Amino acid sequence: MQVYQMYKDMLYNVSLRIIKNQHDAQDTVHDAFIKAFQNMSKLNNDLNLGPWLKRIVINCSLDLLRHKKKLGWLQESYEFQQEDTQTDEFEDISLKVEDVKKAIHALKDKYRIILVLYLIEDYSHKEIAEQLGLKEGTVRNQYVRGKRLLKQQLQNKMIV
Amino acid sequence: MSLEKFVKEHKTAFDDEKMPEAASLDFEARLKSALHPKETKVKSLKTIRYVSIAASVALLITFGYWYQNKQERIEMRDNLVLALGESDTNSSRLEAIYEIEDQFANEKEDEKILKAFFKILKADSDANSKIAVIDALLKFPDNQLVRNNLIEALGNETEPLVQLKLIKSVATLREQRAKAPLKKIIEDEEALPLVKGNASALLAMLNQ
Repeated sequence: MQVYQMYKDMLYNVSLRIIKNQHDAQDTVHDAFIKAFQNMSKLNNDLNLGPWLKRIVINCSLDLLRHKKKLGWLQESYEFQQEDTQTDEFEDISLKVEDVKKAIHALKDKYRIILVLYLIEDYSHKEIAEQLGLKEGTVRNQYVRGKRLLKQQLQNKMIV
Repeated sequence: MSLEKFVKEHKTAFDDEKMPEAASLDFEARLKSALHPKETKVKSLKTIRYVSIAASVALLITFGYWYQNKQERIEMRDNLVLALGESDTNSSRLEAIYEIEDQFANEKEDEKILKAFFKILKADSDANSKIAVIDALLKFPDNQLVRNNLIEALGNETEPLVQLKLIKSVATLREQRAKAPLKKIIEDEEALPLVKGNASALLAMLNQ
């Protein structure tokens, strides 16, 4: 239970960002802990416990969304041509964490999940692609789009 | 500060939610039952048979609804195009463009969608929406209407970011008719040097 007490909040935040539902996030964190305890022998180095648990909870969270058929957008996704990232250069607004959180929360799943995994959970585009069964190019483009939408929302807020 | 840098630097501030204390008790109970799992029952052949029948019925129903689905796609397209026209914020317009692109990604170009996209190119829309529309239109490089509208937009556009995007697009299409709008940009005193430079480079390429 010590491990549980130490990591439960961190894992809860990770799961909540992906699932967006408090009860489901709690259940998912519990599932992840049980899975981790059952597979503890596979962990080679105790120092990696936090990141290892994080990976498990992310897997469990995505599995739950798959189970609830909330990852249907994966079938809609296809490989786009590399989009121009020129417009992502003009970033000159003062930001607040709360506003960014709200704006991320308001994004559609297909942008939000990729953005969260890349920006906050430090997954690479390649890892996200493997995790979601998408092509890396698709992930990159969805990321660029998501970031554009996020910035647009934040800019709208500043104008209002 | 860039958005990426901001999020990375304030990452810990994103972890501000607390797991409810009551959940710990629930977890202890779940952990106990997980460590003493009950034996699982073997599925009977009968169940498998029922599942196969159900699957066959589902398949038949799916086939039966194929035509209906086609009609629904048309309806969905109309709704998305309508939503695009009625978008009152830049972000909702951008989202509608991406949604259309995703939904009709592997299909032949659709006249209604193209018209809606052309309208955005011509209207006084924001740069991000126009750039997204140009990306979407470039998926149909052989469509004459698409080519015409991109050239026309190149001649009329004044927003530097969109101008650069259009120059890049026309370069991809190797469109000779772009020479006139490119000259117009080069001669325009208000155009940015970066835009003029790109226009000159493309004009030189087209003249080769």
